[in-house]
This record gives sequence, C-alpha cells and structure tokens, in this order.
Amino acid sequence: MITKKGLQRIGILLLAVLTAMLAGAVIILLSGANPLTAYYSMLVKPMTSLGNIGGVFIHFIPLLLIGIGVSFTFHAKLNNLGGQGQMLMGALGMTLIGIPPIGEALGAFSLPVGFLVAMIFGAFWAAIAGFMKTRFGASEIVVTLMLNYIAVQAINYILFYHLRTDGEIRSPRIVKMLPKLFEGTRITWGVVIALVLVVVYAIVMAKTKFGFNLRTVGGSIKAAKYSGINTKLYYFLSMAISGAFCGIAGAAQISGNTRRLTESTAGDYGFSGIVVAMLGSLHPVGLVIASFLMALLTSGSSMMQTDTGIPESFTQVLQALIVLFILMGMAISDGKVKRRKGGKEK
Amino acid sequence: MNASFLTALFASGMRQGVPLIYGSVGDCVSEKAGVVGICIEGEIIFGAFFSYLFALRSGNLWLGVLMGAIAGMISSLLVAAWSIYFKQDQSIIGIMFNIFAAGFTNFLNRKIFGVSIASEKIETFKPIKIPGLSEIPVIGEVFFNQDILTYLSIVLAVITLLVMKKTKLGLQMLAVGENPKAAQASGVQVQRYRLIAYMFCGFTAGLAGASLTLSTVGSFTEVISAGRGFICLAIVILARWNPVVACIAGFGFGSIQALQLRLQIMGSVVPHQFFIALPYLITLVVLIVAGHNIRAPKELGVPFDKESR
Repeated sequence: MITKKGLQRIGILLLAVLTAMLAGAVIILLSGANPLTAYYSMLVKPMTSLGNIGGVFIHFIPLLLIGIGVSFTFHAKLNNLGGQGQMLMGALGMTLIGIPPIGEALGAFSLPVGFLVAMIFGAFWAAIAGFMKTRFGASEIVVTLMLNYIAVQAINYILFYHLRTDGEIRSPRIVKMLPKLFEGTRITWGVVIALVLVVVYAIVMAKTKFGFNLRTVGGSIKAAKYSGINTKLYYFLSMAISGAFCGIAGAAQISGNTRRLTESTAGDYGFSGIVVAMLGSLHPVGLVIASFLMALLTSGSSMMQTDTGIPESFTQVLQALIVLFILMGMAISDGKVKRRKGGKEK
Repeated sequence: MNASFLTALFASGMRQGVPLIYGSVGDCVSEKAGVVGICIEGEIIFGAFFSYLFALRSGNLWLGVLMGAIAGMISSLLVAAWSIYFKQDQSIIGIMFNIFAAGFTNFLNRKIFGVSIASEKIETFKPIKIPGLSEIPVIGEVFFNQDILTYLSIVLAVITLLVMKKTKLGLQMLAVGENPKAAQASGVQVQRYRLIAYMFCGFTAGLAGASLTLSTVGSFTEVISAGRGFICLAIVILARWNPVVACIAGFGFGSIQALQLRLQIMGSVVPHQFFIALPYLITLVVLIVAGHNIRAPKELGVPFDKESR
C-alpha cells in the first residue's frame, strides 16, 4: 500500500519533472524555438510508430539496468559514477564470448555465458573502486570517474590492437543475438531480462538480510549503528553488485542492439542511470517508470534536434534540472528550508 | 633524453599544470570550509566556454579571462543554493551540476557556433620572459618564460595561503570546516563563509577554464575539462590542503600530461592508449599513496543545519 509519505514523494517527483520541463521551455523559447513543438518531438513522437517505440526500448534496457546498479550503491550512501566504464567492461565480456571462435563453438550458449562474463567484468571494474574506498579511504566518486577514462582507453587499446575489423576500430560481430520479443520490432528479450532483474532487486532489498543490512549501512534504518555489521564489506559488495548490473547493461547493449563493440558503446548511460535512480527514488516500480521516461527523452532528443534545431544535449540539461528540483522538493518537504514568521523566506 | 628535451617537457608541463593549479587552489579553500569541490569539473567547463566566447567575440583576451571567472563564480551560486540553502548531499548536487554544465555548454556551443567540429582558433596568451630570471639555464625556461596566467596562478596560490594562515578571515574559514557548530556559537556566520568558499572556488575554477581555452588550447571543444576537476581533488589531498604545495603537485601532474603527449607523438613499444590513461592512473595511485593517515577537514561534505543539535 502506498503510504502518505510515499504519496508525498510521488507528488514531489511529478512536480520536479514539471518544473524542470517549464525551465526547459524557457531555454527553448530563448533559443528561438517553440517549446510545444520541441516537447512534442521529444516526448510524443517517439511513441507514434512501432519503429520509434522500438528505439525507446533500445535505451530503456541499459538505463534500467544501470539505474538498478546505481541504486545498490545509493542504498549504502555511496555514489557510483563509473557506469560508463563498467558497462564498457561488460560489453567487452559479451563481445569476447560472442565473436568467433568462442561464439561459434558455444552457439546459443554464448548468450548466457556472455552475460555471466559481462557481469563478472563489470563487477571487477567496480570492485576496484570498492577496494580503494574500503582499503584506502579513496573517494569512490573520483575513483569511479577515473576508471571511466581508463576503461575507454583500455577498450580502445583492445579494439585497436586485437579486435580491429575491416580496418576500423570496432570488434567483429557477435554470432548470436538476443531474440526479438515481438517480430518486426527492435524490442528484444533484453526488456524481459531487465524487468526480471528489477524483481530480483526488489526481493533482495525488501526480503533478504543482505538488503536489510545494506540499508542499515546507508543509514536509512536508524538505531542499527551498533549492530555489528561489517560496514566495509557492505560498501565493497554494493559497489561490486552495482558494477555487475552495469556489466549486464553492456552485454544487453551488444547482444540486443549494436552487435559489436565500439568505444562509444556505453554512451551517456552511466550518468543517465544516476538520474534514473534518483527519479525512481530507488523504488523498483519507480525505476521502471523513470528509465522509461529517460529512454523517451534520450530517444526523442534526436527527433527534436531534427525538427526544431534544439541540440540533443538539451536532454542532459533537462535530466540535471529534474534531479535538482527533486532535491529542492525534498528539502522543502523535510522542513530543511525554514520560514520566518510572516512568511518571508530566509 | 637530453637536456633540451627535458627543458621543453617541463616547460610544457608547467603550462599544462596551470588549469590544475587554479582548480586546486580554489578547492583547497572550499574544502577547508567544509565544501567538497565535486562541482569544479562543471565550473571549469563553464569558465572555458564563456572565456572562449567573449575572447573570440570581443578580440580581448582579458575580457575573456574575466568573463570565464565570473561564469565559474555565477555557476557556483547554483551549487551553493542547493548545498547551503536546501542542505542536500554535496556529492549528488555536484554530479548533477557537472551533467548540467556539460549539457548546457554543449547546447550553447551548438546553438551559437553551429555543429561544425573545427571551432575557430584564437590567439592565445604569449609567453613573457622575466628579465634576469629567464636567463637561468633550464629553470628559467621552465618557470620564467611562461604566459601571464601561469604567473598569476602562482601568485594566487601564495596569496591564498597567506590569507588562510594569517588572517582572521582565513582562520574563521578553517573553523567553519572543522567545527561549524562551535564557529556558529562564537558568532561566525557558517553559511555565509561557505557561500564565500563556493564563490571563490567557482571563480578560480572559472580561471582554470579560461586558462585551458585562452592559454593552452585556443578554442573550445565539448567536455574540454576531461576530468581535470577531479584530478584537482586528488591534488588537494596530495598537497594536504596547502595551496602552494598544490602548485607543485599541479606542475607534477602537468608534466605527466606533457610527457604523455610527447610519448604519443614519439611512438614507442607501449601502446599510446596507455599514455592517454596515464594521468588518470596516476590520480588513482595518488589517492592510494597520499590518502593514508591524513586528516581531512572534519566536517567536510556535511551540510550545516543551524537548528540541528
């Protein structure tokens, strides 16, 4: 059942999205375009044809998976900014298993094996940050970000020297792709995988001791400070699990969409995933809705650029504004912004 | 590796280090006041864009520098509002602000300059030889034949250190980062000092951006800062929150960057990707090595609430 507090939270989220869109409308107006046309291209047009909807789901899968991953770290009050690097590592894992000769030898098994390897690769990349956080007290924000830059160069090196295909810096195609969920669209079984993993996330967080302890470590359950939980272990695990999900996102991207690894396989999903986690309030249903909305924005932004000349990077502006307004709304509803008598804000 | 190679390397290292010096001097101050400079990355991007825009349109480099610094400072007010007034988590605000900064400058860049990838180059600041000092072998070339923004960065670091250590303003700033409640009790306006810290940091980050476009690169490219804001955070830890030591560390990182660029061009058995990743790898090493046994400002990153007990 939705509690009063939950309803209030939903209200804040909706208001934040609306306020951000209003602020966005001002920016669109100032740059000389019509906000209504722009928002139509951005939010409605991606849903007008089956082909376009398929495009939305292409973004939906990695966004949701990274959103779940980032949520695990948020529960422990950590920040994982390394979604891009971890997704790239996952994509590498899937590619290595999926391309010939291994891909041919494994046949259809290359998909589950590829996903597993991607998970391990992603988890490993994030675990470096988890290790540095717990062992040396290094800021996980700086470390995960540095690891992104390093991952891009590592992938570039592997593509350049080892997997180069037809003289271009990209890998060969993988042998087996995820089957389509609906024939004739771009919607693959990746959607089902992502949705199943949301359920897994929900169960882990709500029903298991691990989930309970993780929330305790993050401080969202009070009075458990002295319960003897190994905080460092949970910091490390939340980081590694987060990376595992980002790795899966990389595998899903290769096997459901691009079919081969390039340097830009991970796109901006790493950062958008943080927005998904914030907008979804770490709630399983919230994450699904938020990643659909972000997928819509990402997919619609290129249509908007074609239709109105508003650059695609407007999406990032809108995403950041949404989260900032959520934070503002939470501050006001938590009573962190005090009012003086007579209603004058201080 | 002969002397002339090393001289050229370190001279270039000094130039590459300047944005890092500006950014880390600002971060030293803001962290001392209890504010983590996650947002520096975004402020550098703002500074870089607006300094380029104004310098290009007006033909005046100094106007560019000024507008870059002001852009960094104004953008820091956005972060400060969310952090000080709404008392939200500094990390999340910083992350979102960086996304905002990257998106918004890309947006303006495309809108104002169109989609062409090659942007117009501007004449960058020219090196100024310091009479006498520039005659010293090696050192003269490395430190005393640089452009004005380089000299200013060192002057800024020294002044900042003096203000932090010797003046009432500086000491009160430290109190705000160490024990805001006691500071508040003794009549120091914690929020106001944190606001000043944010604005100063934004100002210097803006200068860092300006030095990128107006003395190193000569044009604006999207996401020009390339993680420099975060390298600044590592430099500040390495320098133990001392702006002058941060200068030396900035020079060190700049030299790594310069070495990296040279090794790429020279060609070697080691793949060039390794060299591009080198500054980021070194940053990780710094965090491991320098992160030990340090005492960061006590209330670093904790929002201050007057009412809370």
